[in-house]
Amino acid sequence: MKQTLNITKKELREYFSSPVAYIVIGVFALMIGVYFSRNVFVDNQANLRKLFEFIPLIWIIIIPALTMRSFAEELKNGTLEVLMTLPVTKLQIIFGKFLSNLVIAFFMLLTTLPAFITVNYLGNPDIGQTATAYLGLLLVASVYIIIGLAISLNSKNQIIAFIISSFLLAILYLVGEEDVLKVIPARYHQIMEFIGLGAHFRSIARGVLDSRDVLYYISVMILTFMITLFSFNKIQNKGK
Amino acid sequence: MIKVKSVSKKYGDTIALDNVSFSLQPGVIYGFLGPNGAGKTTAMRIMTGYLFADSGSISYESKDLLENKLDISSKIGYLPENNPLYDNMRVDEFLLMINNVKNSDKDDLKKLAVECGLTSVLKKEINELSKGYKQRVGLAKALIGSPEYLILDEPSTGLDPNQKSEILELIKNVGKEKTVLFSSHVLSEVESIADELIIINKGEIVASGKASEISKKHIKGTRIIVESDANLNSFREKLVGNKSIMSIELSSKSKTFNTYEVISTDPETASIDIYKTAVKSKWILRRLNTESNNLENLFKQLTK
Repeated sequence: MKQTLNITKKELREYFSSPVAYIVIGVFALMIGVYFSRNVFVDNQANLRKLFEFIPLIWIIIIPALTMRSFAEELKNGTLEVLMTLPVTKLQIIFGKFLSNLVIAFFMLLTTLPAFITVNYLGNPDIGQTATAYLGLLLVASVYIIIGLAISLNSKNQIIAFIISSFLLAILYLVGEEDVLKVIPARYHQIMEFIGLGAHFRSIARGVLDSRDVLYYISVMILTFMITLFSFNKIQNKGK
Repeated sequence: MIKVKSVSKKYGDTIALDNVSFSLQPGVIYGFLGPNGAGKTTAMRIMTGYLFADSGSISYESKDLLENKLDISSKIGYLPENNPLYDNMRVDEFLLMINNVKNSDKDDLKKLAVECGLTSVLKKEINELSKGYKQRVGLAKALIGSPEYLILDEPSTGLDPNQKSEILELIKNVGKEKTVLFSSHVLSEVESIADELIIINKGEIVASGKASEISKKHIKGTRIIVESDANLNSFREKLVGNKSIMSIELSSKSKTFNTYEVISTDPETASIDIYKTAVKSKWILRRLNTESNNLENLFKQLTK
Protein backbone atom coordinates (compact mmCIF):
# COMPACT_ATOMS: atom_id res chain seq x y z
CA MET A 1 0.00 0.00 0.00
CA LYS A 2 2.90 2.35 0.79
CA GLN A 3 4.24 2.11 -2.75
CA THR A 4 0.75 2.69 -4.17
CA LEU A 5 0.47 5.86 -2.09
CA ASN A 6 3.93 6.97 -3.24
CA ILE A 7 2.72 6.75 -6.84
CA THR A 8 -0.54 8.52 -5.90
CA LYS A 9 1.40 11.35 -4.23
CA LYS A 10 3.65 11.70 -7.28
CA GLU A 11 0.63 11.89 -9.57
CA LEU A 12 -1.17 14.45 -7.41
CA ARG A 13 1.97 16.56 -7.20
CA GLU A 14 2.13 16.55 -10.99
CA TYR A 15 -1.58 17.38 -11.33
CA PHE A 16 -1.39 20.31 -8.95
CA SER A 17 1.95 21.61 -10.21
CA SER A 18 0.31 22.21 -13.59
CA PRO A 19 -3.03 23.89 -14.32
CA VAL A 20 -4.67 20.55 -15.25
CA ALA A 21 -6.32 19.75 -11.92
CA TYR A 22 -7.46 23.35 -11.32
CA ILE A 23 -8.97 23.67 -14.80
CA VAL A 24 -10.75 20.31 -14.60
CA ILE A 25 -12.20 20.99 -11.15
CA GLY A 26 -13.05 24.60 -12.12
CA VAL A 27 -14.87 23.62 -15.32
CA PHE A 28 -16.77 20.92 -13.42
CA ALA A 29 -17.81 23.36 -10.67
CA LEU A 30 -18.94 25.90 -13.25
CA MET A 31 -21.07 23.40 -15.15
CA ILE A 32 -22.60 22.08 -11.93
CA GLY A 33 -23.29 25.61 -10.72
CA VAL A 34 -25.05 26.63 -13.93
CA TYR A 35 -27.08 23.42 -14.12
CA PHE A 36 -28.15 23.52 -10.48
CA SER A 37 -29.07 27.23 -10.58
CA ARG A 38 -31.25 26.61 -13.64
CA ASN A 39 -33.00 23.77 -11.82
CA VAL A 40 -33.67 25.86 -8.75
CA PHE A 41 -34.46 29.26 -10.23
CA VAL A 42 -35.97 28.40 -13.62
CA ASP A 43 -37.63 25.02 -13.00
CA ASN A 44 -38.31 25.68 -9.27
CA GLN A 45 -36.94 22.24 -8.27
CA ALA A 46 -34.90 22.20 -5.09
CA ASN A 47 -33.56 18.64 -5.20
CA LEU A 48 -30.24 17.01 -6.03
CA ARG A 49 -31.47 14.01 -8.04
CA LYS A 50 -31.29 15.76 -11.41
CA LEU A 51 -27.84 17.05 -10.51
CA PHE A 52 -26.68 13.54 -9.58
CA GLU A 53 -27.95 12.25 -12.91
CA PHE A 54 -26.18 15.08 -14.72
CA ILE A 55 -22.75 14.46 -13.15
CA PRO A 56 -22.01 11.09 -14.86
CA LEU A 57 -22.84 12.74 -18.18
CA ILE A 58 -20.37 15.61 -17.82
CA TRP A 59 -17.78 13.23 -16.41
CA ILE A 60 -17.86 11.48 -19.82
CA ILE A 61 -15.88 14.49 -21.05
CA ILE A 62 -14.15 15.64 -17.85
CA ILE A 63 -12.66 12.38 -16.53
CA PRO A 64 -11.00 11.41 -19.85
CA ALA A 65 -9.51 14.95 -19.88
CA LEU A 66 -7.94 13.99 -16.57
CA THR A 67 -6.87 10.42 -17.33
CA MET A 68 -5.65 11.04 -20.88
CA ARG A 69 -2.20 12.13 -19.68
CA SER A 70 -1.78 9.44 -17.01
CA PHE A 71 0.04 6.87 -19.13
CA ALA A 72 0.12 8.54 -22.56
CA GLU A 73 2.49 11.22 -21.26
CA GLU A 74 4.71 8.65 -19.54
CA LEU A 75 4.86 6.65 -22.76
CA LYS A 76 5.65 9.75 -24.82
CA ASN A 77 8.36 11.05 -22.48
CA GLY A 78 9.80 7.62 -21.72
CA THR A 79 9.24 8.02 -17.97
CA LEU A 80 7.26 4.77 -17.87
CA GLU A 81 10.68 3.10 -18.07
CA VAL A 82 11.73 5.00 -14.93
CA LEU A 83 8.58 3.94 -13.11
CA MET A 84 8.66 0.32 -14.21
CA THR A 85 12.26 -0.21 -13.21
CA LEU A 86 11.62 0.97 -9.65
CA PRO A 87 10.71 -1.55 -6.94
CA VAL A 88 6.97 -1.23 -7.59
CA THR A 89 4.58 -3.73 -9.14
CA LYS A 90 2.50 -2.98 -12.21
CA LEU A 91 -0.61 -3.27 -10.06
CA GLN A 92 0.78 -0.65 -7.65
CA ILE A 93 1.45 1.70 -10.59
CA ILE A 94 -2.08 1.27 -11.97
CA PHE A 95 -3.69 1.52 -8.54
CA GLY A 96 -1.57 4.55 -7.58
CA LYS A 97 -2.64 6.39 -10.71
CA PHE A 98 -6.24 5.26 -10.22
CA LEU A 99 -6.32 6.63 -6.67
CA SER A 100 -4.86 10.00 -7.67
CA ASN A 101 -7.60 10.44 -10.26
CA LEU A 102 -10.21 9.34 -7.73
CA VAL A 103 -8.95 12.03 -5.34
CA ILE A 104 -9.54 14.65 -8.06
CA ALA A 105 -13.04 13.20 -8.68
CA PHE A 106 -13.63 13.50 -4.93
CA PHE A 107 -12.57 17.17 -5.04
CA MET A 108 -15.00 17.65 -7.91
CA LEU A 109 -17.81 16.20 -5.80
CA LEU A 110 -16.83 18.56 -2.98
CA THR A 111 -17.71 21.47 -5.27
CA THR A 112 -21.34 20.22 -5.21
CA LEU A 113 -21.53 20.94 -1.46
CA PRO A 114 -22.98 24.45 -1.96
CA ALA A 115 -25.81 22.80 -3.94
CA PHE A 116 -26.37 20.34 -1.09
CA ILE A 117 -26.43 23.18 1.47
CA THR A 118 -28.87 25.17 -0.70
CA VAL A 119 -31.24 22.20 -1.01
CA ASN A 120 -31.04 21.65 2.75
CA TYR A 121 -31.90 25.31 3.29
CA LEU A 122 -34.84 25.28 0.87
CA GLY A 123 -36.23 21.84 1.66
CA ASN A 124 -35.71 18.69 3.67
CA PRO A 125 -33.75 16.11 1.61
CA ASP A 126 -33.11 12.55 2.76
CA ILE A 127 -29.51 12.47 3.99
CA GLY A 128 -29.18 8.67 3.56
CA GLN A 129 -30.42 8.92 -0.02
CA THR A 130 -27.95 11.71 -0.76
CA ALA A 131 -25.05 9.80 0.79
CA THR A 132 -25.93 6.72 -1.34
CA ALA A 133 -25.97 8.87 -4.46
CA TYR A 134 -22.53 10.31 -3.61
CA LEU A 135 -21.20 6.78 -3.08
CA GLY A 136 -22.70 5.78 -6.42
CA LEU A 137 -21.01 8.74 -8.08
CA LEU A 138 -17.65 7.63 -6.69
CA LEU A 139 -18.31 4.18 -8.16
CA VAL A 140 -19.13 5.74 -11.54
CA ALA A 141 -15.96 7.86 -11.33
CA SER A 142 -13.93 4.73 -10.53
CA VAL A 143 -15.20 2.94 -13.63
CA TYR A 144 -14.60 6.00 -15.81
CA ILE A 145 -11.08 6.43 -14.41
CA ILE A 146 -9.94 2.85 -14.91
CA ILE A 147 -11.33 2.83 -18.46
CA GLY A 148 -9.55 6.15 -19.11
CA LEU A 149 -6.30 4.69 -17.73
CA ALA A 150 -6.57 1.56 -19.89
CA ILE A 151 -7.01 3.69 -23.02
CA SER A 152 -4.21 6.06 -21.98
CA LEU A 153 -1.80 3.12 -21.61
CA ASN A 154 -2.49 2.15 -25.20
CA SER A 155 -1.79 5.55 -26.71
CA LYS A 156 1.17 7.89 -26.83
CA ASN A 157 -1.13 10.69 -27.95
CA GLN A 158 -3.18 12.31 -25.18
CA ILE A 159 -5.82 13.74 -27.53
CA ILE A 160 -6.46 10.34 -29.10
CA ALA A 161 -6.66 8.82 -25.61
CA PHE A 162 -9.20 11.52 -24.65
CA ILE A 163 -11.39 11.04 -27.73
CA ILE A 164 -11.43 7.23 -27.52
CA SER A 165 -12.12 7.27 -23.75
CA SER A 166 -14.99 9.76 -24.06
CA PHE A 167 -16.46 7.85 -26.97
CA LEU A 168 -16.30 4.52 -25.13
CA LEU A 169 -17.73 5.98 -21.92
CA ALA A 170 -20.56 7.63 -23.84
CA ILE A 171 -21.50 4.31 -25.43
CA LEU A 172 -21.19 2.44 -22.13
CA TYR A 173 -23.27 5.01 -20.28
CA LEU A 174 -25.97 5.56 -22.87
CA VAL A 175 -26.50 2.00 -24.07
CA GLY A 176 -29.12 1.21 -21.43
CA GLU A 177 -30.75 4.65 -21.31
CA GLU A 178 -34.49 4.93 -21.89
CA ASP A 179 -34.14 7.19 -24.95
CA VAL A 180 -31.75 4.72 -26.58
CA LEU A 181 -33.91 1.70 -25.73
CA LYS A 182 -36.84 3.30 -27.58
CA VAL A 183 -35.10 2.73 -30.92
CA ILE A 184 -33.84 -0.78 -30.08
CA PRO A 185 -35.99 -3.95 -30.46
CA ALA A 186 -37.52 -4.97 -27.10
CA ARG A 187 -35.78 -8.38 -27.01
CA TYR A 188 -32.41 -6.60 -26.60
CA HIS A 189 -33.55 -4.29 -23.80
CA GLN A 190 -32.61 -6.58 -20.93
CA ILE A 191 -29.05 -7.14 -22.11
CA MET A 192 -28.56 -3.45 -22.96
CA GLU A 193 -29.81 -2.42 -19.54
CA PHE A 194 -27.40 -4.93 -18.06
CA ILE A 195 -24.44 -3.50 -20.01
CA GLY A 196 -25.41 0.16 -19.69
CA LEU A 197 -23.62 2.03 -16.95
CA GLY A 198 -26.33 4.70 -16.81
CA ALA A 199 -29.07 2.11 -16.21
CA HIS A 200 -27.16 0.85 -13.17
CA PHE A 201 -26.81 4.38 -11.84
CA ARG A 202 -30.52 5.26 -12.11
CA SER A 203 -31.55 3.51 -8.91
CA ILE A 204 -28.41 4.66 -7.06
CA ALA A 205 -29.27 8.28 -7.95
CA ARG A 206 -32.65 7.66 -6.30
CA GLY A 207 -30.82 6.55 -3.18
CA VAL A 208 -31.23 2.78 -3.64
CA LEU A 209 -27.97 0.86 -3.37
CA ASP A 210 -28.70 -2.48 -5.05
CA SER A 211 -26.02 -5.16 -4.66
CA ARG A 212 -26.45 -6.05 -8.38
CA ASP A 213 -25.49 -2.49 -9.36
CA VAL A 214 -22.48 -2.49 -7.03
CA LEU A 215 -21.43 -5.89 -8.40
CA TYR A 216 -21.74 -4.52 -11.93
CA TYR A 217 -19.42 -1.59 -11.20
CA ILE A 218 -16.89 -3.79 -9.42
CA SER A 219 -16.94 -6.34 -12.27
CA VAL A 220 -16.32 -3.65 -14.90
CA MET A 221 -13.46 -2.29 -12.78
CA ILE A 222 -11.81 -5.69 -12.32
CA LEU A 223 -12.15 -6.48 -16.01
CA THR A 224 -10.60 -3.15 -17.00
CA PHE A 225 -7.80 -3.55 -14.41
CA MET A 226 -7.00 -6.89 -16.08
CA ILE A 227 -6.97 -5.25 -19.53
CA THR A 228 -4.62 -2.55 -18.22
CA LEU A 229 -2.29 -5.19 -16.78
CA PHE A 230 -2.38 -7.04 -20.09
CA SER A 231 -1.47 -3.77 -21.88
CA PHE A 232 1.56 -3.44 -19.59
CA ASN A 233 2.73 -6.91 -20.59
CA LYS A 234 2.22 -5.99 -24.23
CA ILE A 235 4.49 -2.96 -23.79
CA GLN A 236 7.13 -5.11 -22.09
CA ASN A 237 7.00 -7.63 -24.91
CA LYS A 238 6.94 -5.18 -27.77
CA GLY A 239 9.40 -2.73 -26.28
CA LYS A 240 7.56 0.43 -27.32
CA MET B 1 27.02 -11.33 -9.82
CA ILE B 2 24.70 -10.59 -12.74
CA LYS B 3 24.27 -13.40 -15.23
CA VAL B 4 22.77 -12.83 -18.66
CA LYS B 5 22.07 -16.24 -20.14
CA SER B 6 21.18 -16.92 -23.79
CA VAL B 7 18.99 -13.83 -24.10
CA SER B 8 17.31 -13.21 -27.44
CA LYS B 9 14.92 -10.44 -28.44
CA LYS B 10 13.24 -9.56 -31.71
CA TYR B 11 11.33 -6.41 -32.71
CA GLY B 12 9.10 -7.73 -35.47
CA ASP B 13 11.53 -9.24 -37.96
CA THR B 14 14.54 -7.35 -36.63
CA ILE B 15 16.82 -9.29 -34.33
CA ALA B 16 17.91 -7.00 -31.49
CA LEU B 17 19.69 -9.63 -29.39
CA ASP B 18 20.75 -13.03 -30.56
CA ASN B 19 21.54 -15.55 -27.86
CA VAL B 20 23.50 -13.06 -25.76
CA SER B 21 25.33 -14.32 -22.68
CA PHE B 22 27.74 -12.60 -20.30
CA SER B 23 28.27 -12.21 -16.60
CA LEU B 24 29.24 -9.22 -14.48
CA GLN B 25 31.31 -9.48 -11.31
CA PRO B 26 31.06 -7.14 -8.29
CA GLY B 27 33.64 -4.37 -7.96
CA VAL B 28 34.23 -4.28 -11.70
CA ILE B 29 33.27 -1.48 -14.07
CA TYR B 30 32.17 -2.86 -17.41
CA GLY B 31 32.14 -0.68 -20.52
CA PHE B 32 29.37 -1.75 -22.88
CA LEU B 33 30.39 -0.89 -26.41
CA GLY B 34 28.75 -1.24 -29.75
CA PRO B 35 27.64 0.84 -32.72
CA ASN B 36 24.16 2.40 -32.83
CA GLY B 37 21.47 -0.25 -33.01
CA ALA B 38 23.83 -3.01 -31.83
CA GLY B 39 21.49 -4.00 -28.99
CA LYS B 40 23.03 -2.23 -25.97
CA THR B 41 19.86 -0.42 -24.87
CA THR B 42 17.69 -3.51 -25.44
CA ALA B 43 20.09 -5.60 -23.34
CA MET B 44 20.04 -3.00 -20.54
CA ARG B 45 16.24 -2.75 -20.65
CA ILE B 46 15.94 -6.51 -20.34
CA MET B 47 18.49 -6.54 -17.51
CA THR B 48 16.42 -4.02 -15.55
CA GLY B 49 13.14 -5.83 -16.19
CA TYR B 50 11.61 -3.07 -18.30
CA LEU B 51 11.45 -5.38 -21.30
CA PHE B 52 10.78 -9.07 -21.50
CA ALA B 53 13.24 -11.20 -23.44
CA ASP B 54 11.84 -13.60 -26.02
CA SER B 55 14.04 -16.31 -24.55
CA GLY B 56 16.86 -16.65 -22.03
CA SER B 57 17.15 -15.45 -18.47
CA ILE B 58 18.71 -12.79 -16.26
CA SER B 59 19.78 -13.59 -12.73
CA TYR B 60 21.20 -11.50 -9.92
CA GLU B 61 23.13 -13.54 -7.34
CA SER B 62 21.47 -16.67 -8.81
CA LYS B 63 17.98 -15.19 -8.31
CA ASP B 64 15.86 -14.95 -11.42
CA LEU B 65 15.01 -11.31 -12.24
CA LEU B 66 11.39 -11.86 -13.23
CA GLU B 67 10.62 -14.05 -10.23
CA ASN B 68 12.25 -11.63 -7.77
CA LYS B 69 11.55 -8.36 -9.58
CA LEU B 70 10.76 -6.19 -6.54
CA ASP B 71 13.70 -7.36 -4.47
CA ILE B 72 16.18 -7.03 -7.34
CA SER B 73 14.80 -3.69 -8.58
CA SER B 74 15.50 -2.14 -5.18
CA LYS B 75 19.18 -3.04 -5.66
CA ILE B 76 19.48 -1.67 -9.21
CA GLY B 77 20.35 1.92 -10.03
CA TYR B 78 19.34 2.54 -13.62
CA LEU B 79 19.88 5.47 -15.92
CA PRO B 80 17.83 4.81 -19.08
CA GLU B 81 18.73 5.98 -22.57
CA ASN B 82 17.92 9.70 -23.15
CA ASN B 83 17.47 10.09 -19.39
CA PRO B 84 13.65 10.47 -19.16
CA LEU B 85 12.59 12.63 -16.20
CA TYR B 86 9.36 14.14 -14.86
CA ASP B 87 9.84 17.64 -16.26
CA ASN B 88 7.07 19.29 -14.25
CA MET B 89 8.52 18.18 -10.92
CA ARG B 90 11.13 20.04 -8.92
CA VAL B 91 14.49 18.33 -8.58
CA ASP B 92 14.05 17.79 -4.82
CA GLU B 93 10.49 16.49 -5.29
CA PHE B 94 11.61 14.04 -7.95
CA LEU B 95 14.57 12.73 -5.96
CA LEU B 96 12.44 12.48 -2.82
CA MET B 97 9.79 10.51 -4.71
CA ILE B 98 12.41 8.01 -5.92
CA ASN B 99 13.91 7.95 -2.43
CA ASN B 100 10.51 7.10 -0.91
CA VAL B 101 9.83 4.37 -3.47
CA LYS B 102 13.28 2.91 -2.83
CA ASN B 103 12.68 3.26 0.90
CA SER B 104 16.08 4.81 1.55
CA ASP B 105 17.43 7.25 4.09
CA LYS B 106 16.66 10.95 3.57
CA ASP B 107 20.08 11.99 4.90
CA ASP B 108 21.81 9.95 2.20
CA LEU B 109 19.81 11.91 -0.34
CA LYS B 110 21.35 15.18 0.87
CA LYS B 111 24.85 13.71 0.54
CA LEU B 112 24.03 12.46 -2.92
CA ALA B 113 22.79 15.89 -4.00
CA VAL B 114 26.15 17.32 -2.94
CA GLU B 115 28.11 14.53 -4.66
CA CYS B 116 26.22 15.05 -7.91
CA GLY B 117 26.50 18.85 -7.70
CA LEU B 118 22.77 19.44 -7.49
CA THR B 119 22.45 21.57 -4.35
CA SER B 120 22.03 24.83 -6.29
CA VAL B 121 19.17 23.51 -8.44
CA LEU B 122 17.20 21.45 -5.92
CA LYS B 123 14.26 23.88 -5.88
CA LYS B 124 14.15 24.28 -9.65
CA GLU B 125 11.72 22.50 -11.94
CA ILE B 126 13.47 19.85 -14.02
CA ASN B 127 12.33 21.46 -17.29
CA GLU B 128 14.29 24.61 -16.36
CA LEU B 129 17.59 22.72 -16.13
CA SER B 130 20.34 22.49 -18.73
CA LYS B 131 21.03 19.12 -20.33
CA GLY B 132 24.08 18.68 -18.13
CA TYR B 133 22.12 19.22 -14.93
CA LYS B 134 19.35 16.93 -16.16
CA GLN B 135 21.97 14.24 -16.69
CA ARG B 136 23.19 14.76 -13.13
CA VAL B 137 19.61 14.43 -11.85
CA GLY B 138 19.29 11.16 -13.78
CA LEU B 139 22.55 9.90 -12.35
CA ALA B 140 21.58 10.97 -8.82
CA LYS B 141 18.30 9.10 -9.32
CA ALA B 142 20.23 5.98 -10.29
CA LEU B 143 22.46 6.29 -7.22
CA ILE B 144 19.62 6.69 -4.71
CA GLY B 145 19.55 3.92 -2.11
CA SER B 146 23.19 3.03 -2.77
CA PRO B 147 22.30 0.25 -5.23
CA GLU B 148 24.52 -2.81 -5.59
CA TYR B 149 24.17 -2.81 -9.36
CA LEU B 150 24.47 0.24 -11.58
CA ILE B 151 23.24 0.06 -15.14
CA LEU B 152 23.91 3.32 -16.97
CA ASP B 153 22.95 3.88 -20.57
CA GLU B 154 25.24 6.62 -21.87
CA PRO B 155 25.66 8.49 -18.58
CA SER B 156 27.88 11.27 -19.92
CA THR B 157 25.68 12.42 -22.81
CA GLY B 158 25.24 16.17 -22.90
CA LEU B 159 27.87 17.00 -20.32
CA ASP B 160 30.68 19.49 -20.90
CA PRO B 161 34.26 18.15 -20.54
CA ASN B 162 34.55 19.25 -16.89
CA GLN B 163 31.19 17.78 -15.91
CA LYS B 164 32.07 14.65 -17.87
CA SER B 165 35.28 14.05 -15.95
CA GLU B 166 33.47 14.72 -12.64
CA ILE B 167 30.71 12.24 -13.47
CA LEU B 168 33.21 9.65 -14.70
CA GLU B 169 35.19 10.08 -11.51
CA LEU B 170 31.98 9.58 -9.53
CA ILE B 171 31.18 6.38 -11.43
CA LYS B 172 34.76 5.21 -10.92
CA ASN B 173 34.50 5.80 -7.18
CA VAL B 174 31.13 4.12 -6.70
CA GLY B 175 32.23 1.30 -8.99
CA LYS B 176 34.79 0.14 -6.44
CA GLU B 177 32.09 -1.61 -4.43
CA LYS B 178 29.38 -2.15 -7.01
CA THR B 179 28.77 -3.96 -10.24
CA VAL B 180 28.68 -1.28 -12.93
CA LEU B 181 27.67 -1.66 -16.55
CA PHE B 182 27.78 1.49 -18.59
CA SER B 183 27.42 2.10 -22.27
CA SER B 184 29.02 4.93 -24.16
CA HIS B 185 29.92 6.04 -27.64
CA VAL B 186 32.91 7.97 -26.38
CA LEU B 187 35.65 5.39 -26.43
CA SER B 188 38.17 7.52 -24.56
CA GLU B 189 35.91 7.68 -21.50
CA VAL B 190 35.30 3.94 -21.60
CA GLU B 191 39.05 3.47 -21.78
CA SER B 192 39.57 5.78 -18.80
CA ILE B 193 37.21 4.08 -16.32
CA ALA B 194 36.20 0.61 -17.53
CA ASP B 195 38.03 -2.36 -16.06
CA GLU B 196 36.56 -4.70 -18.63
CA LEU B 197 34.71 -4.40 -21.92
CA ILE B 198 31.72 -6.09 -23.48
CA ILE B 199 31.53 -5.39 -27.19
CA ILE B 200 28.26 -6.06 -28.98
CA ASN B 201 27.54 -5.90 -32.68
CA LYS B 202 24.32 -6.71 -34.54
CA GLY B 203 22.82 -8.26 -31.41
CA GLU B 204 25.74 -10.57 -30.71
CA ILE B 205 28.57 -10.30 -28.21
CA VAL B 206 31.72 -10.15 -30.33
CA ALA B 207 34.24 -9.80 -27.50
CA SER B 208 34.44 -9.45 -23.74
CA GLY B 209 37.16 -9.15 -21.15
CA LYS B 210 40.05 -6.77 -20.45
CA ALA B 211 40.94 -4.52 -23.40
CA SER B 212 44.48 -5.96 -23.58
CA GLU B 213 43.13 -9.54 -23.60
CA ILE B 214 40.63 -8.70 -26.32
CA SER B 215 43.40 -7.08 -28.37
CA LYS B 216 45.59 -10.14 -28.05
CA LYS B 217 42.79 -12.50 -28.92
CA HIS B 218 41.06 -10.65 -31.69
CA ILE B 219 43.55 -8.35 -33.28
CA LYS B 220 46.21 -9.95 -35.35
CA GLY B 221 48.82 -7.43 -36.33
CA THR B 222 49.43 -3.74 -35.81
CA ARG B 223 48.24 -0.95 -38.06
CA ILE B 224 50.80 1.22 -39.86
CA ILE B 225 49.51 4.32 -41.61
CA VAL B 226 51.46 5.31 -44.71
CA GLU B 227 50.88 8.45 -46.73
CA SER B 228 52.72 8.45 -50.02
CA ASP B 229 52.45 9.51 -53.66
CA ALA B 230 52.94 5.87 -54.71
CA ASN B 231 49.99 4.41 -56.56
CA LEU B 232 48.24 1.39 -55.14
CA ASN B 233 49.54 -1.13 -57.67
CA SER B 234 53.23 -0.29 -57.30
CA PHE B 235 52.89 0.10 -53.50
CA ARG B 236 51.36 -3.37 -53.25
CA GLU B 237 53.70 -4.93 -55.80
CA LYS B 238 56.84 -3.80 -53.99
CA LEU B 239 55.73 -4.55 -50.45
CA VAL B 240 53.40 -7.50 -50.59
CA GLY B 241 56.17 -10.12 -50.53
CA ASN B 242 57.44 -8.76 -47.19
CA LYS B 243 57.05 -11.39 -44.46
CA SER B 244 56.09 -8.91 -41.75
CA ILE B 245 53.27 -7.38 -43.81
CA MET B 246 49.90 -9.15 -43.63
CA SER B 247 47.75 -6.83 -45.71
CA ILE B 248 47.73 -3.49 -47.49
CA GLU B 249 44.61 -1.44 -48.04
CA LEU B 250 44.02 1.96 -49.57
CA SER B 251 42.09 3.93 -46.96
CA SER B 252 41.87 7.34 -48.64
CA LYS B 253 42.96 9.11 -51.78
CA SER B 254 43.78 12.74 -52.51
CA LYS B 255 45.14 14.52 -55.58
CA THR B 256 48.81 13.79 -54.81
CA PHE B 257 48.88 11.45 -51.85
CA ASN B 258 47.32 8.11 -51.03
CA THR B 259 46.83 6.86 -47.50
CA TYR B 260 47.50 3.17 -46.97
CA GLU B 261 46.64 1.00 -44.02
CA VAL B 262 49.28 -1.67 -43.60
CA ILE B 263 48.69 -4.48 -41.11
CA SER B 264 51.88 -5.97 -39.83
CA THR B 265 52.97 -8.69 -37.43
CA ASP B 266 56.28 -6.89 -36.83
CA PRO B 267 55.64 -3.15 -37.19
CA GLU B 268 59.26 -2.11 -36.60
CA THR B 269 60.70 -4.25 -39.40
CA ALA B 270 57.78 -3.40 -41.68
CA SER B 271 58.26 0.36 -41.13
CA ILE B 272 61.97 0.12 -42.01
CA ASP B 273 61.14 -1.92 -45.11
CA ILE B 274 58.48 0.57 -46.20
CA TYR B 275 60.96 3.44 -45.73
CA LYS B 276 63.72 1.66 -47.67
CA THR B 277 61.33 0.73 -50.49
CA ALA B 278 60.12 4.34 -50.68
CA VAL B 279 63.69 5.66 -50.99
CA LYS B 280 64.54 3.06 -53.61
CA SER B 281 61.41 3.71 -55.61
CA LYS B 282 61.69 7.51 -55.19
CA TRP B 283 58.29 7.81 -53.53
CA ILE B 284 57.54 10.81 -51.41
CA LEU B 285 56.75 9.58 -47.91
CA ARG B 286 54.67 12.15 -46.03
CA ARG B 287 53.61 9.97 -43.12
CA LEU B 288 54.74 6.67 -41.69
CA ASN B 289 53.48 5.85 -38.26
CA THR B 290 52.61 2.80 -36.26
CA GLU B 291 49.29 2.95 -34.41
CA SER B 292 48.99 1.33 -31.05
CA ASN B 293 46.15 -1.13 -30.67
CA ASN B 294 43.93 1.31 -28.80
CA LEU B 295 40.24 0.94 -28.07
CA GLU B 296 39.21 2.78 -31.19
CA ASN B 297 41.05 0.31 -33.43
CA LEU B 298 39.71 -2.56 -31.41
CA PHE B 299 36.17 -1.24 -31.72
CA LYS B 300 36.52 -0.59 -35.45
CA GLN B 301 37.86 -4.02 -36.17
CA LEU B 302 35.34 -5.89 -34.07
CA THR B 303 32.24 -4.03 -35.22
CA LYS B 304 32.97 -3.80 -38.95
